[in-house]
Amino acid sequence: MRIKKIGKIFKTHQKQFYVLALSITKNREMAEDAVHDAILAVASSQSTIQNLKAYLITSVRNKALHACVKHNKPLEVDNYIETDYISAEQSIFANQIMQSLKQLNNDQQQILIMKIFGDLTFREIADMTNNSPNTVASWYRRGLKILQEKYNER
Amino acid sequence: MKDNFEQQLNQLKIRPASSDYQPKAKALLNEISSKKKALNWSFLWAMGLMISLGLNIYLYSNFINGNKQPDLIAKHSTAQKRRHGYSIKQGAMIPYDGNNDVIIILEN
Repeated sequence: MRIKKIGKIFKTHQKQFYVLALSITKNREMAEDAVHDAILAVASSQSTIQNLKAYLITSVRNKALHACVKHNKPLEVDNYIETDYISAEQSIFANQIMQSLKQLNNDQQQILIMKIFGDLTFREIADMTNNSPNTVASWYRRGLKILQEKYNER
Repeated sequence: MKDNFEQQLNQLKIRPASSDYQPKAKALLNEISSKKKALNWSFLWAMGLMISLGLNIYLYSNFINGNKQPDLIAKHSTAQKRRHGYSIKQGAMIPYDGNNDVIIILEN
């Protein structure tokens, strides 16, 4: 019964899970592994779970964070922004943005990646990060302002 | 109204997940589901075996190797009783089924 529910939740929210994990790991393979590990852990768990979706989200986040910690040495950051179908100028801009993003704190990075590149709404991001939509919007505006400053400094 | 910088940013998108992403998740869930089903069947089989064993022990101890009732022994003829190793002992005469037949209490 639980496995069927997990399957349904994953089918509906697979993109959100992936974007959440990617915003933390900045690496596609690690992000996918984190989501799969989370599914495995939740499906195998013997404990009673009230809110399966929230539990899955938390599990994905924890697995992604754990993956980052496990790779203690600086990880070769994947080019997680799609550059195959954009102009050369946009590709350069994308690389510069990824470098500037590194100078923001983790929360701001996460929200900017999820909002701008992942196309998630503030409500969806709030669900994923366990914050209110207003808090998420506030962090987003502040993060965007800092990102622009860092980009302009280059 | 979004400024130019934000508009430029909005043109960038994350790389989509690989083609394995969804199938692998489905495969994982199917594997766990199969394992759980196999575990349930094993449990049921073990329970069935234990019940069957218990029943067999009960039946064996009470009926097969059991306490032969005197009236069962008494139904055999004298010659049969001697053949089966029972000695005839003169004992009390007891009415049997109200037919005025008697049985003789025997011992091994």
